[in-house]
Amino acid sequence: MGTEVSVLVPGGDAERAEALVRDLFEEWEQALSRFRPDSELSRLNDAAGGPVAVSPLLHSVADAAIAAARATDGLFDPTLLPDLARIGYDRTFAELEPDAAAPSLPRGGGGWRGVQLDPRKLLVTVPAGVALEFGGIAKGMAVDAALDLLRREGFAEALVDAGGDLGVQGGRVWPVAVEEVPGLRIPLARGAVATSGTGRRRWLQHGRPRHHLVDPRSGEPARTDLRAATVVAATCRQAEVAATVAMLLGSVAAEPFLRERGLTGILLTDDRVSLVEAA
Amino acid sequence: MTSTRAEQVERLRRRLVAVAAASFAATFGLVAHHARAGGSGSSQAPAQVQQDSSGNGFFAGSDNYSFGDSGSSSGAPAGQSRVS
Repeated sequence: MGTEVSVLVPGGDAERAEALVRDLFEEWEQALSRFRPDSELSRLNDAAGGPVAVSPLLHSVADAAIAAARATDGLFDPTLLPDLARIGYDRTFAELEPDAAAPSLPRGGGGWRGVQLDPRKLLVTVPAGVALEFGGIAKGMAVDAALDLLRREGFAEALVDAGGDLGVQGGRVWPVAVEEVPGLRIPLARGAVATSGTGRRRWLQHGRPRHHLVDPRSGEPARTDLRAATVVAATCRQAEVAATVAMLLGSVAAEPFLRERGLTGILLTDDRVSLVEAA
Repeated sequence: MTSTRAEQVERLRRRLVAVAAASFAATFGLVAHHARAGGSGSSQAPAQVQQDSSGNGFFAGSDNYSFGDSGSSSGAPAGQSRVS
C-alpha cells in the first residue's frame, strides 16, 4: 500500500502482533494492489465485461466501496483509475516520471454504478471500460481487519497505524497527533482517525501541478479550499471515506456532511483550523 | 477578528478536550451532552451530499467512537494521523 504500518500492543507480545499484522497487510496488498499486475484486483479489471469469481476479501472490499459511493452520491468513487492514469498517477508514487506528458485517456468517474456484485456466488462484474481502484478505503479496512484480528488473538489493547490512517481498541486512551495541526492531541479511546489532503503525492505533469485527490465530478485533481481534513469515526473505513469526501466538498459543505453523520472532524484551510462536532 | 494559527490551535485543543470530557462522561452515563460546532460558516450552505438515501448504511454507527478524559490530550502521541 506504499506506506509504513505500525502496531502498538501495550504489555503484549509485540513480535507476534507484528507478524500477524504484517501477514494480513501482505495478503491485502497481494489481493488489492492496482500496481501488481498479478493481484486479484488487476485480474478482475483485466476481465472487465463479464462476471469474475473473487475471494471473500475482494468481494467485501468491493461491496464496501460501492456502498460508500452510493452513500456519498458518487463523491467517493472507486472507478477513477482512468483519471488517475490520465493525470500521470499510473504507477507507484515512487516510480512516477517527473513532468511526463498527459496521455489521452477517457474520464472514468461514475463507472461504479454499473458494477454488479453477487454475494451468494462471490461474483463481481466490472463493466467493460471500467476499472476498480480501492485506494484509501482498502487501507482503512485493512486497519479495521488488523484490529479485529489482534482482538481475536488476545490483544485487547492495540493501535494500528497505516501511514496515518489509524484505529485503536481497548481500555486505554491513545493521544493521537495530527500532523497538519502541530500541538493538537486527539484523546482517542475507541474508534479510528483518517486524514485526507493535497499536501502529499504531488507532481508535475507537463508543467501542470497535480495531486492524487481526483474529483469525480471533473476527473481532475480536486480544487478545494481545504488543505486537509481529519475525521474521527467508529471505523477506519468510515473515517477514510468521510475525510476524502470532506476534502472534495470544501470547508463549508463539509461541516454539515460530517455533523449529520455523527462524525467529528478537523478542517484545515490556509488561514483557519476548525473543529466539527457530531449533531 | 483575526487570530494567529497558534491561537486557533489552542482554541481547538481546548474545544477538543471539552468534547473529550463530555464524551467520556456520556460513555459512563453521567451526562447526556453534545456540544455544537462553533466557528463561522457552520450550517448556512446546504450539504452537497444527501443523507445515505440508498439505505445501505455505510455510515451507520459512524458515531460509535469515544474520547478519553482531558488529561490524556497532552504528552507524547501514540500515533499520528496524516495525509498519506
